[in-house]
Amino acid sequence: MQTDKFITPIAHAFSAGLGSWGVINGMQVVTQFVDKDVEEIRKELLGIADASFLGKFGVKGRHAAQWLQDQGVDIPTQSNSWVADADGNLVLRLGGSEFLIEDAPDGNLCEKLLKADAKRAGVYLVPHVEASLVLSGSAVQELLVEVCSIDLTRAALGTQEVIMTQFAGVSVVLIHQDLEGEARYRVWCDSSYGPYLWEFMAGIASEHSGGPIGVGNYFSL
Amino acid sequence: MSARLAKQKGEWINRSTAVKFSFEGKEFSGFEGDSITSALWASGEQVIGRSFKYHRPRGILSFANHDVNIMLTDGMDTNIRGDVVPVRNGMALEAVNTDGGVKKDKNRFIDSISPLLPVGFYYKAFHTPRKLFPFWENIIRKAAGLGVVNFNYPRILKRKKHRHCDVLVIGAGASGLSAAYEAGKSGLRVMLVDENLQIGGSLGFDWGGTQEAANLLKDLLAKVESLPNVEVIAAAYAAGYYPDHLIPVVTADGMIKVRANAVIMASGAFEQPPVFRNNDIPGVMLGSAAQRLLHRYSVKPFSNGVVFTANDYGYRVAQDLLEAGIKVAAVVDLRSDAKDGPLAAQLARRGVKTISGSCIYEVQPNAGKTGVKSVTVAEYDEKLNEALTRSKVTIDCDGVAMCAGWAPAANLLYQAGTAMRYDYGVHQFVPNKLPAGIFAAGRVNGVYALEQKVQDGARAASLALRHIGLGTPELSSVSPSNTAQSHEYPVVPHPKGKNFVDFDEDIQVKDFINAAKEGFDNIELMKRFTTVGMGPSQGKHSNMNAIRILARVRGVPVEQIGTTTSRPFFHPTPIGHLGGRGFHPHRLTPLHDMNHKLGAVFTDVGAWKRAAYYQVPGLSLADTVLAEVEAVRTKAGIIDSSSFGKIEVHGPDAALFLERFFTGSYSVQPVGSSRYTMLLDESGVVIDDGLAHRLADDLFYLSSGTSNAAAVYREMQRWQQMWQLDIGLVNVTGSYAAINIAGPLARQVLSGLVNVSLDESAMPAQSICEAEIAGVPVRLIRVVFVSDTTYELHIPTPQAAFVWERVMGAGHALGLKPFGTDAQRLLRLEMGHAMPGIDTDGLTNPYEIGADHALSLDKPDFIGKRSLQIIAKRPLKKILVAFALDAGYAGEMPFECNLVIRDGEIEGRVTSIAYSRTVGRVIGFAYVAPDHSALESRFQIRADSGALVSATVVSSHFIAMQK
Repeated sequence: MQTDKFITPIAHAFSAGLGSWGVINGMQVVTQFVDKDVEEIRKELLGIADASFLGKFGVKGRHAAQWLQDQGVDIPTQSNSWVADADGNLVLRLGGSEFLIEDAPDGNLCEKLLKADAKRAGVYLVPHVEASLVLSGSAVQELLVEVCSIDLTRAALGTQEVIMTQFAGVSVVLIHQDLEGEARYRVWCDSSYGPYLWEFMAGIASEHSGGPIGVGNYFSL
Repeated sequence: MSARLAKQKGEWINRSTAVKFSFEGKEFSGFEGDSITSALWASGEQVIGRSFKYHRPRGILSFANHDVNIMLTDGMDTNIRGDVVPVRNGMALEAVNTDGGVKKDKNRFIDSISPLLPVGFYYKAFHTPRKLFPFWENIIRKAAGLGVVNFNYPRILKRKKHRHCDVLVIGAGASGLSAAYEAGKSGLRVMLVDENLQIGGSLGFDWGGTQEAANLLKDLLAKVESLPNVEVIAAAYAAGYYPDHLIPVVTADGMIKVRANAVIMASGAFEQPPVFRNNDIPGVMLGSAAQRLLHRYSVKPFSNGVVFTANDYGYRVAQDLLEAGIKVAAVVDLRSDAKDGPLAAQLARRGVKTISGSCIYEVQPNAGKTGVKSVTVAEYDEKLNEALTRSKVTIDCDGVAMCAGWAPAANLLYQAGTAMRYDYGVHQFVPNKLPAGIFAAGRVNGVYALEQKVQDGARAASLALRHIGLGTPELSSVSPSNTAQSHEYPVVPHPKGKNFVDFDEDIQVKDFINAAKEGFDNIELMKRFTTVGMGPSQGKHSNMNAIRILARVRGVPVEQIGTTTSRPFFHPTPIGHLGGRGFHPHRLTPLHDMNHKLGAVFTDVGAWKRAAYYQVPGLSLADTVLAEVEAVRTKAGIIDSSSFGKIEVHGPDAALFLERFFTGSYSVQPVGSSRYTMLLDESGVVIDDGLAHRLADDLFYLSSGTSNAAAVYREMQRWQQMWQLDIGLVNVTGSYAAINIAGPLARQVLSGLVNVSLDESAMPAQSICEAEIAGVPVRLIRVVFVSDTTYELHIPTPQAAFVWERVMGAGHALGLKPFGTDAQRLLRLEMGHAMPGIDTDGLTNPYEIGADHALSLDKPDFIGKRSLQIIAKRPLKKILVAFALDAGYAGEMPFECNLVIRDGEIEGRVTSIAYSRTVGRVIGFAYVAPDHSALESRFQIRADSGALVSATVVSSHFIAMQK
């Protein structure tokens, strides 16, 4: 990984000069926005973090599922669902024959898959450079009901469902994940919409006394 | 003198906290919890508004946010509904629609000339002579409207939220509370919304002299509150119905878009005023309004009143007035058999006389028309619909409570597609056939008795649960009340008129009769001619009486008249609520901040923000763009093209897919080469163009313009669904950034950066290869869109900024300059490239833009081929030509879309035009008749001023004309 060549797709939203920049997994990101104590409070109320540094890998095609299994990847059996493997890597099945894989912070599954031979009929690699976000907090539903028209409450969302919907007019992929006893939403959107969506959601979060926080609040880095 | 009653149970006010405010410059006080109107009424103020048209003094009518008699401004906001908006400390209020204040409104004279201003007068009076129309229009426009719009009103965020529930109950009266409780017992998510500040509906004010309703309310509230799955939202009105049970619920703070599996409309009914002369004088109010004043705010509506009723409800009102210590001078009942009934007997025992078979013929106002002095009561002939004035008597009083019946609050039921019928038992419209998932309960269903309303709510809930799929037993139906709750014709004619049907628009009985005589005897036509129901109240108190009058005029049953169309939102809603937070999704390229630092001024291209040009201090926009063009022509320019559409087509059938999708030929396209693509629709119209780069036998990389990328990808997916070829489509628009380096020094700029040879032989025009820049993988493409020597770099998005900096660094010494979309458009024009969407429209076919070269008609098929074969047999009507204005032309500059004129007729239009410093001429594209498309043909362009500018057809390769 060449550390100075990658920059988070949300960078424009951070250009006001707030926060401390650092490099995680080879990507320049804001690692801390405000004091740790304040970030803790934001996280409890409505925290939003940039996890775009996590490695991503995509593959689609009628034999994509088989190819992934051949690589030793556990895949969701149902369309539009997700699983996490023992290392914490996420495997999202988008529809029936497309997959998005995201590494755990210390994972290298995506790198391994990129190096694997994918030259097979019905297997097509899909580059993924999405903006990747984490949302959590007691007021997170207050944000979700403003940006999305479908029911994203815990009761309505199955534990392993992948939702493809729109947030504030932008197509997103969303899952709900309980991790370390904490309910989180993970959101991916096209990188070009990343700054817009970040600013939109961070604005709402701040109205609820939440706001941007470093991703270290969610992942052990 | 204060009209405030002693403290009573259930009142909404907090007497321990006083509120000071002013109205029309005079100081007042009320209590916390008071509405503006209740605080003023308690202080003896009865003239709180002026009517829209005749500027008559107005007081309370419904006291329920259903009429607009009382609308105020605080200097910032306007049309504040005084009846329901809580009064706050420091408010400085004035009535709207007055000139000189509510008491001395200078426009009150209009009331005296009202015979000259019947409805429709301005339709007829002012259209001729035409030259005077602007004069009258100016006067009418100034007279129209209520409050004055404050253009400095601050933007206050009104949130729009999406909520979901199993059962939505609209209306929290007896039926709604019962329905919410019964539905809530199932454990499902139930939402209960009500427009009032506190829930309970009429249980909170319609007591009829007993505590039965209050006790029932207490019981139902306790039940509902015991269920945590029932969410109650007060002060929120359900404003409309949209498909799939989407219902916007409007609150003071914003809007909640509720999607429910089932909806129970327990929305109640609007009380209807009887129609008689001066029924709008302050002090004349609906019976339910008097009850609201009494029981919510502990305010006397009047001290000595007459109840004019046409149903049993008036007796409940009279009992409530008596309980509050208010003298009831008489109950006047339109029904001839009323005085012998038990209700009249109950009142008689309390010393109140019932005058049955009679009407209030007219109200006598006091000297300033600010209140009631007395009423004239006359016998009423129900068959002839006449007041028999020979026997009239006058009763002194200071107020009138009116009870003539009800109109169901069925707006949302209508919008949902409910078939309604007129029930002759209750004399109102009731649901006949409800759409799936919609249920009605209570007054809107024609059910009025307390116990029955509760039963009806429970019944509706059981049906809603069954609709959702629960095995709830179906409860027996509840029949509409068997006594008439509304009078079939509560209208008292009067030769002097002023018997108002529509209080918003000052429409009298005679206006309807005249409208019918003029032929507007269909309810929809009558509505538009008279404007009944078109004011802010949207006919809540006027539509039903208007229907009854029209039915009587035409001699047909009410149901034959029908109702007007109900449209969402049924209640006026501020624009701010509709606007909400506002979404403006936009895409930024990964080089946005780089561009910004270089002085880019951005423009919207589709959803993208693109650099239009790079501002240079001291240079005009035109000169800036020309300088950017010059850099490309003489040295090198760099442009951020990341917004271009980028699609990969993988698989063994990839070439076949392209053959079918585009007009050109791709099956034999060599790997490493690029070819032009043109996309048509099935009718042969040009949709888009771009390039197909072959990276492998089974991989094409497509690039297209910014605006159409998403649409083109959707089309690909659609056609692939039908063709089922062995391919995979991957939209990589966001995955790759793109940078173009163009100009004679472009090769020199890049040659030290890329790890491949850029020699003409190794990297000719229309070629592609995979390369690296400082270890970053790039797709390197040779294109000729803006100059003969252009390299396009496609870079993984997260590394784009890194590569951009490297290229800028390498080009600095060579004079590399960034250029934007403005320069790009001129550069491509100089190169003679027509652009779909700019030089084409929604009807343009390839022959009209001279794109025959892009058509491989020998292919078995492609989208639009059959249409092209038909089009090819017909003569062309227009053709796109390149043109130049005369050398040295310095006159008015024509613009895009200016017309091509020949012999005074329109021949075509200009699609692109710009001054090119490179060529030294104004150049462009225009459509002309095929007969006039030959080189050197002359035509004329009509500029904006009308001046005709001569142009000459030239070769599209403008660059060859370089000076």
